[in-house]
Order: sequence, then structure tokens, then C-alpha cells
Amino acid sequence: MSHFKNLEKKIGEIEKHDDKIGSFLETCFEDARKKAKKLDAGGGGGKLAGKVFSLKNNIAVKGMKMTCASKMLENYTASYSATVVERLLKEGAVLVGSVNLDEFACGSDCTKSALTQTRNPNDLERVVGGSSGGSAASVSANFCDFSLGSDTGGSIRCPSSFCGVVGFKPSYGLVSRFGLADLAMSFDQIGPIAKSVDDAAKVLEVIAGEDEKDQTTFGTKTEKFSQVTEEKVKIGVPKEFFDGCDEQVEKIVRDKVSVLEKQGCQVVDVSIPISKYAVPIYYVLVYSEFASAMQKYDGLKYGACADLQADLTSSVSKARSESLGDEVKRRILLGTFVSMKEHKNAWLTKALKARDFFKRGFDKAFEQCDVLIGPTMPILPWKVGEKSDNPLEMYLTDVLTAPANICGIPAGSVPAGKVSGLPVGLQVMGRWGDDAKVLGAMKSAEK
Amino acid sequence: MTLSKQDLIKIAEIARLRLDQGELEKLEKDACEILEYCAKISEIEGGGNEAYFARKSLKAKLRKDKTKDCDNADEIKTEFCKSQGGFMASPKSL
Repeated sequence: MSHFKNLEKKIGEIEKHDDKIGSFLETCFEDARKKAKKLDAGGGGGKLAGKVFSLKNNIAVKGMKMTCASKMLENYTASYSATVVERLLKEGAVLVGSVNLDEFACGSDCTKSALTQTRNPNDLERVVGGSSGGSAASVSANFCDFSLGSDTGGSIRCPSSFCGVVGFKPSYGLVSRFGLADLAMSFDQIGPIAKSVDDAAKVLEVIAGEDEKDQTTFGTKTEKFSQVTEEKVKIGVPKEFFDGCDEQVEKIVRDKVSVLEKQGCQVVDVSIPISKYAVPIYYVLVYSEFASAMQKYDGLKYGACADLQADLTSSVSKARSESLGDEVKRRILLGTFVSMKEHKNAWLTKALKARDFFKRGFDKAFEQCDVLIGPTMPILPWKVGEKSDNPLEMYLTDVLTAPANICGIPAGSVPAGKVSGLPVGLQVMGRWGDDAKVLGAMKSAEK
Repeated sequence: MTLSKQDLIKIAEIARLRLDQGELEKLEKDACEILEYCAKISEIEGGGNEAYFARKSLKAKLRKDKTKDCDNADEIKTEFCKSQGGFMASPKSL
């Protein structure tokens, strides 16, 4: 099939079905058509030639709106492109549009977007997962070949699990975040969402590696993720990963582990007692980093234009209060609280120290195995609106995904089965820098 | 852990946010529940470690200074929402 025909097929699907799913915030069909025609005519090429992709709308593309699904940035047009976007375009990938997310990536079900509602292509009554909900939905619904999301506490893996697609959060530092609107700088990573592990690995190979514009990145250009093969790894199954887990989800994941054992993988039971503290450690730190990151949206230098009030403070407060959603305000307030001089030692410093202890708990588990396997999400996708009034209940669903971000280690979700038509994801985590090994284990589990 | 409405008003002021009565009621309830749950971090034994931020091996890499063409005044002018006679309008800040 020509690149142009592949693109037209995807555009046809978007035009036919996206009014029900609501994944796209902006499309760029004409630019995409021009590029696909040029590729067909022999102009350019590359590792991802003609592959159609969507992009979470907190990643900058020069000349396109970058809203972060917030009223605050509803009219902001990016003046430069993110490093990951430049790398994808250089390798021949064709951008078809930007997709929805929870406002500023704050959420686990994509219902916190201020701009549109995204629904799960597998069941329109159910949530798509978040915060990269538009990315996972657009891949699941065949609107594109792959998408990029960002993952701070599970935002790539959660929607990938709920939509039945593959999602991968790389090791911290493997992929440049230049051009990503930050949620929490010490947790954020950009990563691929695709139909298969092979496709996700090909995308990772293109976007990974050192970038002088992001000092956390390191050079891995020699690593050929696209050539990863199935790995007969030693699998650790932490008993704590099944605490409070839906029985049907647990059965699917344990059955898949048995299949891997029959394929020749060694399976060992491990225990990581500290993992039950993932949610409180994660949220205290994220609140603090997020409140800091959001200070720049003042309606003067950045964000929705402030109406002039009697003084500068009132102008800023008015612009922020009118343009930000409830979850974003909640996180800013709690982040301000835990970072205040009088509360810092009791909250922020304690959480930073706990993070060190948490990481060492996972390091110890990795002394017994190559990868850890468990469910990606402890429960099935819930009905739209079911958890809207209880933020804590929503936070608790991050308990299995947040550990990888706390430790900075690679983790991916791969479809493992279905319960009543709803996808269940299996999560693989590895040591920091073992991205290829995690992808190999995911590939074994994919069969 | 409890946060009163007065506490929240003070925090909101620092965070440059305004909260109406409805928001305050909801936030008071949610914030107390969340902080009560997050207080579990005090249970962690052996938490007297170093504060961990991200990769410890991270070393700051400095970019070399490079000269570049900055003759883009016309492009910058297009970012202003209003202009007249060569003057650009921006929100009043003082």
C-alpha cells in the first residue's frame, strides 16, 4: 500500500468514528497528505517512512496549537517543535494531528480535559484511561500507526492497558523532554504507544538518545531497539502487585505468567513491601513539582490573557482561577502546602527521603530477577464519571504504575487478554537502562 | 491531618488562586482525605536516607555558546495581539 493510501485510510477512519471517540483536538490532514505524496514520489524516507502518528497535545509542534487540554493554553500556538517531533519527522513519519489528555496531564482517565471528552473505543461507556487517553484511543481505533504520550505516574501505560494497545515508558533520561509541557520534572518521560511491541520499539529507537536541550538525556544512539527479540528472562512476580486487584484481572495476568514459564522463562515469587507506599510518595512529590511548574502560567508572560485588575496579583489570580480546572487547582494548592517552609520537613523532605528508600526496595527485588511482572492496572476501565467525585479513589489506581516513575526505571504495558470485551494489560518493569530487555520480555508476553 | 477553610484561603493566596465558596467546601473535604492518606509516608522505617531527586549519576552538561541569527523582529511582532504605528500592545502589568 502506498504511503498516501495508508494515510487516506486513517483519515477516513478519523472522519467516520472520531466524533464518537473524541481523541483529536486538532488535525493537520493537508500537511500530512503533502508529506505522504512526497514520500511516495521518492522524496525523503527513513526508518518510519509513511507511518502515520498522533501526538499528545502537551508536546510542541511548531505552528500547531499546544493546549495541554486546558483553557489556560486554548489559544497558544507553539513557536518551536519538540526534539521527539523533529526526530520522527526526519525519519519520514507523518503527523496527522494532536490528541486529547487530562488537563496538563493531571488525571488517570482523560475525563479532566477542559476541551473534549475521549471515550474508550472498546466500550464507549467506559473511560479511555489517562492521561494520554487520546493517544491510546487513536491507536486502538486505527486512526494512526502509533502515537506519542507522556508518562509521569502511568499516563502512557494506563490508557494503553485500558485500550488494548502497547505502551512503553522509557528509563528516565532515555528520551528528550525538550518541548514537553512539564508536569513533574523528575518523573516525566515521553514514550510510544503502538499496536505491537515491534512498532513501539521502532519508534523508541528514533526518539531515544542524547539531546543537548535536555540535560537529563544520555547517549544511546547505538542501541537498536528495533532489533529486540523475545527474551527468556528471569521473571519476578511481586505478591504485593495483586493486593486489591480485580480477580479477573489477576487471573489473566497469572495465566500469562504461566505461559511465559512454559516458554522457558524462570519465574520467582518476590516481595516488595515498600510498594504499598507508591501512591503517597508519588503524589506528595508530584504536587510539589507541579505547583512549581505551574507558576509560569500567570496570564501575563504565559497563558490566557489576564483581565486587568486593581493590582498585578489580582490580575494573575483571576486569570489562573478562571482558566484552570478543579484537579489542576487541587494539585497546585496541595503542592504549595507541602512545599511551604513550615510544612516542608513534614511532607516534601520526608517524601524525598522515602523515594530513596522506595528505590532501594526495588533494587533489592531486581537482585533476584531480570524483570518484574504484574497487572498494569488493578481494575478494569470504569464507567465515565464513576470516579469523578473522589480524587483519592482515582489516585489509588496509579498504585502499580507510579513505582516505575518513582524509581526512573523502564516499564511497558502489553495486552494480556480481555474480560467481557474490556482489555487487560500486563506490565513489565526492568532495571534502569534495561529498556531493551523489558521490550524483549514484552515481546514474549505479546504472543 | 486537617486543613481548614482559612488555611486553604491562605494557601490559595500564595498559589495565586481564588476559590469560591463551593470550591472551598469541596477542597476542604478532598484535601483532608488526601493528606490523611499521604501521611502514611511517616510509617516508612529507614526513611532517614538521602533525599532522592532523580538519577544520582546525572552530571550537568553545558552547551557551547553558539552565535545565531536574531534578525526576526517581524516574526516577534506577529506574536502581539495588537499593534499600531509600529507600537505593540501588551497587558498592563504595573
